[in-house]
Amino acid sequence: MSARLIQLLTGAFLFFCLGIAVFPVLFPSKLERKVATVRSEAATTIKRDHQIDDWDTDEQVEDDDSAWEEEPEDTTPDRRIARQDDETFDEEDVPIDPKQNVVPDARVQAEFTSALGEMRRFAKALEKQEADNFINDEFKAADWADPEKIYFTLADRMLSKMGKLDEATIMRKLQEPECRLDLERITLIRKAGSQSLRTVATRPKGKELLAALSRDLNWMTNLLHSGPTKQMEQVLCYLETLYGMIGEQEMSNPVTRRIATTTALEFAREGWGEQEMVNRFKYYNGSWKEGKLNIAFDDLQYWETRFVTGCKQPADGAGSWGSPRNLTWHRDNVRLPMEQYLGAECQLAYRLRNVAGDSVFSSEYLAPIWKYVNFTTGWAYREIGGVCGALSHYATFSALAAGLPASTMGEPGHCAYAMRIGNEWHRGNSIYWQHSLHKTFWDEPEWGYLILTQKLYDERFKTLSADIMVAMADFLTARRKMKAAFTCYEIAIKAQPNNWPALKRYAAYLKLKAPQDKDKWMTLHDTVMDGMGKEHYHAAATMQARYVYPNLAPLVKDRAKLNKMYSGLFAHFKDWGANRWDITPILDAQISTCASDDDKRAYLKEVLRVLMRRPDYAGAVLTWGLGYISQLPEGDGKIQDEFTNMLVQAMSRSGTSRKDMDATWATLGEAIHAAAKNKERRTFQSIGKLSYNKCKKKFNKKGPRIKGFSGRVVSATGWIDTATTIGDMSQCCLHWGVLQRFGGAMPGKFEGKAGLTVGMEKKCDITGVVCVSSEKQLKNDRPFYIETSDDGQNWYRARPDGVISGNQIRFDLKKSNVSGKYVRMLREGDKYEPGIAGFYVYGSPQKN
Amino acid sequence: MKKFVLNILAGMMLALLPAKAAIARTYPDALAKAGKNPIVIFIYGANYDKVGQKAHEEFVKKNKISPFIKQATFLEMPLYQQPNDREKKDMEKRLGNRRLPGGIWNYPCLAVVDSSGNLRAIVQKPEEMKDPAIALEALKVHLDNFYKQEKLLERARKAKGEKKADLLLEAANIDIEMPKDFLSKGEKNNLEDEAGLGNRLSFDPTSLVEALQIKSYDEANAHVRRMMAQGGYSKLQRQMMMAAYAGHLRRGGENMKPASKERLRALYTEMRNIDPKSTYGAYAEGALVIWVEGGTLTDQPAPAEINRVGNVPDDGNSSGSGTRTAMGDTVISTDDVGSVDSDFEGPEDEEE
Repeated sequence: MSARLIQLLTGAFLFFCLGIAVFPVLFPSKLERKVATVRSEAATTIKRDHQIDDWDTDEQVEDDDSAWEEEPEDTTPDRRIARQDDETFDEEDVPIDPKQNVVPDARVQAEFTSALGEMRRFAKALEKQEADNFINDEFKAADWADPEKIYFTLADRMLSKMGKLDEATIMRKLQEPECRLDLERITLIRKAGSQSLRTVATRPKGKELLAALSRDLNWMTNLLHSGPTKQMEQVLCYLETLYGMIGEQEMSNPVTRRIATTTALEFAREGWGEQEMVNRFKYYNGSWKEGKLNIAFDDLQYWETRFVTGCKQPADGAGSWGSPRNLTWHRDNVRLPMEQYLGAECQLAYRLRNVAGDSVFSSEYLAPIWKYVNFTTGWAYREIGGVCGALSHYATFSALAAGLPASTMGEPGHCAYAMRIGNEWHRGNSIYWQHSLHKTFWDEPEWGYLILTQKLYDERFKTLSADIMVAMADFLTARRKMKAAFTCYEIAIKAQPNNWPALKRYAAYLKLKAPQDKDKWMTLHDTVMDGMGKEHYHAAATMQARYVYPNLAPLVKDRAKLNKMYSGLFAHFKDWGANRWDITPILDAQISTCASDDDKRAYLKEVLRVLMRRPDYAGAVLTWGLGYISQLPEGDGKIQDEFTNMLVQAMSRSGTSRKDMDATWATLGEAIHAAAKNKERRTFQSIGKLSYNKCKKKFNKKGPRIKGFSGRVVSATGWIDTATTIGDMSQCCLHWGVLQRFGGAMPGKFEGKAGLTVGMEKKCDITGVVCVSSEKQLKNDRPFYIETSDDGQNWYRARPDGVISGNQIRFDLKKSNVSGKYVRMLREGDKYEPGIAGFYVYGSPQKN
Repeated sequence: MKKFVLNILAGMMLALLPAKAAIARTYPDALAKAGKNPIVIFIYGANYDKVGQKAHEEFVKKNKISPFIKQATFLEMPLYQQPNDREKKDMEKRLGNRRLPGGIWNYPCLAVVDSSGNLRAIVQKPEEMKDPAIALEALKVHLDNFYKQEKLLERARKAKGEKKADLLLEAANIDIEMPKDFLSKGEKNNLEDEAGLGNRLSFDPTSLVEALQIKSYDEANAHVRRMMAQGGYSKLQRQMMMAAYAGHLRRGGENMKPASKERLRALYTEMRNIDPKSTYGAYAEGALVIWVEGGTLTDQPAPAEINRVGNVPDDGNSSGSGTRTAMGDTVISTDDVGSVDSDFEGPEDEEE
């Protein structure tokens, strides 16, 4: 009996335990429901771009806290403050004020006049107050054991100070430093999450840090408003480590504090390890104390210091450019005035192979020298030499080691760098316009964004006032004060229209709360054009294409109006702006809103009308058009034909005067390059002939003298492409000339084995091939050979190999029984080749 | 009293010493004054670099440089970063219409320039420049070499035929740069050059790599040995020849197996012994470790544990000093290997 009772009791206990475990899953708390709802809405309505982190640790915030889970959910609401990131809008479980639960009407520019005046005063107040830093030690170290208590105290106080939440009161109150410090503390708790702060506060140095940080308005402002603030909880852990290491007194030195804060911010953002973070801090702090950094470092702001202390490759060892030992070497061995770092790569010999014949891309290249140079990367390359990658890193890290902002950047098949002299960014070792910076704030690597970042922070206090308004808007969003939140976001982006992250955040909020409000989307569109669109064309166009068009286009019913708006974007731009940029994503975004073929035709007509009048953009739009056609589903081919005709007509209309000739030549060059890449034989030939008619002077009068093979030149009506990366496409019409009897020019720098490929009109029986080099006497030190294919996919080697004679490589294939629609020439090795002046395939087309 | 008088006399003698050195205010002035003597230019960052300013204090303001200048012309050249109008004017005045010679990679430095503006030698390594005693000792060596080289060049100017080539080669072997224009085009073409000066002037390591990579090992050996026998090459060039040759054998040419480790050992040992202290001497020693012995080149600062409460031990890892010597813990025995590539016959290599 007793055994049965025990069994029953055990069973009942187990059932009870199961119930406790399952209950929260079946019946989530209000807060969890609310957060989950808002997040899922955000996830479905905000289009995340591919670079955004997943923030998959968010769930962990709510784990492992049995003390909270034990509380009865309906009587005591969960007060934890979830960590808020830049992509979502979490709302707290607070009652909704009906007056605030409305979307305010869109405002015209005139209605912002008084707000913008107040924002100017706000910016001036910020500048004035920075000198007399505001300190308030209301929250002691021990208080940070309960960050929720601090948060709710501050939140209630803030809202009560703001009265009716009208814009005049908000802006006036934010000019008071004590009010701003409260807002920064709120922002810090929301960005780090209360759980993380509590964890930091469990450690002695952690709570000391939080107390020291949260009482100092300048420090808080610089931490929170000097660029992205990803992984704030990690930033605080890193700062805690540094604070523990150097102590409060040293940390109170403004330069040391700046080095510590920016190092922590960047290492947390990049996900780099703590040991490397400490080493990086010690390098810069030690170098600064010893007076070994360039004096310009002393006056850097926080945002620009992040370029320096956050430079890449922090790990120690061979091949790492950002290791302390490498930075130390550069600091001491390449000490130059700022201007001379631009071009410092000339200290290195340019060598594709070292003197032992090892390729720079092989591990053998530097292997024996590492110990001699103490595993110091810059030193190793200075001894042995290198190619573009080493040269660009050498110059960049020489500047970075001295404490000057710089970044390496990728270009097609090349490495270059960006370096700041004074307040202007310059390109170093650059050969193409396509720059992809390796250090960026907003995961947008193109050059235009670097210039935008500089411009944004040049207007430091204007930007700071806007950033503070965004922080206020975020807080109001969390407290479910939608009307006031909208007002704050809108004033922020009007006051500083170059604020890329603020615009992005507002667009996301608008999409979440008022996706159908056409007037508001239209206002945002105009704000972007009138602000960022005045100077920063690439960023403005991307903002429209990525965040505005997908929401605005479905609300504009008149297709003609929409097309005018699209072409108006380009009509607004005078030239390329700070640097040439890729218009393809913009045109793709615009045409993707066209539902039917008719819409597409109308769109293309309108956009060609505007863009073909702009020499800078004409080539790019043709290239895009040809690429777009090649990707269309085949169907009956009607739309393709119409599009091709439109493009060719547009090209034909381009001017022929001497003044226009260079622009036309460049435009057609880009277009013919695209045609070759898309294997569009007819377009390739059309553009080639057009360029010959319009710009005859650019072509040779006489071609090379060649002894041909039997048959005719079957390649003359085909297309030709090279495996070489072509950065400057302005000379690409000469590629067409390479197939013609008068000859042309094509770069011969092959990549790997791949060389030239020719696509012919029909499958041909081939009797021979002649390749004419631009070098008078070709070296006979590597074999060239021909491959043919029927489909451009499967290739067969033709024998015999080429015979070099003077400037020609001749392939006699009479007895080889070779046929194919595609012919390509390859060679062994990876040497640079001289240019190609002519390429002729002889034979006869097959009948079927 | 006696001591006082002696001190006065010593002071007067010291004061007389710098009087020998000419001090120029501008670069064109220095070039004009120099004649057959060198110009010593102290170049430093005047408005952006505390290290440069400190060096200026030590070398120039405390006048530590004076006793070393002797007959040379001394010029002080401040560099300005983002100069203001006054600084721009100062730089323009000091440079005149001339530019400083290329090849200066680091400031502060002491550049030794001839009256034609050729950079002949430079003291710019941080480990030298941080201590005036070390830097000035290095400068002294350079100035002595300058005079030695100039004497030989002067004799070569007057000599003809083989003698001229011999003297030029002897001058080139002195451890400073030759002036760029020491031989005119016409002289170069008509040089009677048994000593091999022309070989030195036309040496191109990249061409050598290309030439060797299509040769059989026998042909490559003969090619390199023939070059060595012709003479005239510097130690660095001879080490480069060995690097190219050994690299070819290590990788193996087309349809050729890589050479044996013993053969590589002989080649890299020979390469190292040409000048063990040079970069390519160290390269050869590294090659012996990794490609002959199958070892690794290591350097191992163990990462320090970080205590979360904030006490990070200072392990010195961040200093990354560039003064640590290479190859310290790697010992390669050279007793058991021949000093020449014993698998091939070739002319004996003579140490310079």
